[in-house]
Amino acid sequence: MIHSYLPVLILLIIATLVPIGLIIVSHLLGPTVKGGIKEEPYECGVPAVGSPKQFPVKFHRIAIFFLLLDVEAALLFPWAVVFKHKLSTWGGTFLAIEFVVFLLILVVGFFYAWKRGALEWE
Amino acid sequence: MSLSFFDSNMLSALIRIALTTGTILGVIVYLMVWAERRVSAFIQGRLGPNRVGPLGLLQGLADGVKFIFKEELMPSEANKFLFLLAPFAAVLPAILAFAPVPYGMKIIDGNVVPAAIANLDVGVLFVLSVTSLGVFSIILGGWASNSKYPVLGGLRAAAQVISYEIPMGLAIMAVLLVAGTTNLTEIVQLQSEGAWFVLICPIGFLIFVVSIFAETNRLPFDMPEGETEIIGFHAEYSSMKFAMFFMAEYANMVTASCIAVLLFLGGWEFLPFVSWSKLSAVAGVSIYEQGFWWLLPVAWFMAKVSFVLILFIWVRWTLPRFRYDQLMRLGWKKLIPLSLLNIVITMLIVMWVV
Repeated sequence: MIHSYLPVLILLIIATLVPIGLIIVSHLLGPTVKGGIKEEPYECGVPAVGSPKQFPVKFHRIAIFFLLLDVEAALLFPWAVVFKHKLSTWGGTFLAIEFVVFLLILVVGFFYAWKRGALEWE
Repeated sequence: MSLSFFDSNMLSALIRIALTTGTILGVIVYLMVWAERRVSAFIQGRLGPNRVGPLGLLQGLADGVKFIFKEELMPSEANKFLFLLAPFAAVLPAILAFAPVPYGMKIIDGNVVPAAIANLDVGVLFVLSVTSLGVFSIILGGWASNSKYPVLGGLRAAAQVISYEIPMGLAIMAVLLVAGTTNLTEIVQLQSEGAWFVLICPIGFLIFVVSIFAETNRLPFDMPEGETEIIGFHAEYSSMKFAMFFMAEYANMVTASCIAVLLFLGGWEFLPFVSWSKLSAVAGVSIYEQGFWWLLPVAWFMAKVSFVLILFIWVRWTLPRFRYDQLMRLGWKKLIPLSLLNIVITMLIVMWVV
């Protein structure tokens, strides 16, 4: 079983070397002419004022919701894979109720956030 | 070559990697960049690049050479290590994600051997997890530039990519319900005997296609890189480092198209309910077992992947761009509830019909 991951390891090494090689080749072959205002941050022509590392808090909110729903998806994948195989032994009703209970706990929170306007982008 | 290609020793693994990454990923990505410009031009009634080489096929090579010989710029404020890490973090998962993708198969002594770099039992999960690593390149590229527009562009792009990852995962989950396995080759075999999964969960296919458009930053969801209108996360990148983001994007498009074909459109199987095995019986040649006939399904698979890739370009010039709040509303308020509903519907279908 483990030897089927050997090609993945080789591919990982190739996938590491290709971008490093591209960066090095382009660094060696490209011209470098220092000076001027070339290295200033892009700011449409006016001098940059203030710190760039400020951002609206709504991005943070999206990240929190993503964590919530993605962990839920990760926990549901095993359920989805065994569903068909366990249908005859455990019965469809039991498996379905299991899923609906799990989903309800999540969906209640999701709709609470929705109704409180957490998903509005204004 | 044919025999050692399907063996499981070190040498044949190297042959598979070379052929798959070189031929499939390399050539298709190159042709996709060419087709993007030619098809775009034809849709707009132009000719597109047609001077460099036959049909303009060498244009991409000329552009690549030009990218390598361009000057590299790095903003003085930038975090140097993270600035270099971002294009690296874009290309690595784009190449690695292709590892478990099968593009054909052969039956040797009654055993099914897929034509893929590695035959992983967790194929679908491997692709999902590796492609989701691509978001690091976006957020790192924006953050390391230490410049206002790229930082905002990076956050915007990252929020978009993680938002659409949820409906994509849930759409795939509906397929796993029907298939009961995460091995991509077994999923295709299940579709060869019965209906393609697009017929069992059409809503899932729709959600998946919309999500991969957003995941690969394509129009109508190309807020991350609408360079001329709103500045994207790679505003401070130049030369090959800039090109690497786009190489990774096209490689991701190829992988996403392959996954769409494998999960929903029957992989390399001929038509719904008409498998190559049935055709073998009619033609008198065992397509999966004899000689080089296994290349026929591979060619058919490539035709299907090309169709999905052309769809990417077609949609680009058909639909206008979404506004960012519309994008978020579609993702969170439409696609996520719809994909949860799709799982319930698919569950009932599996319980009562299949």
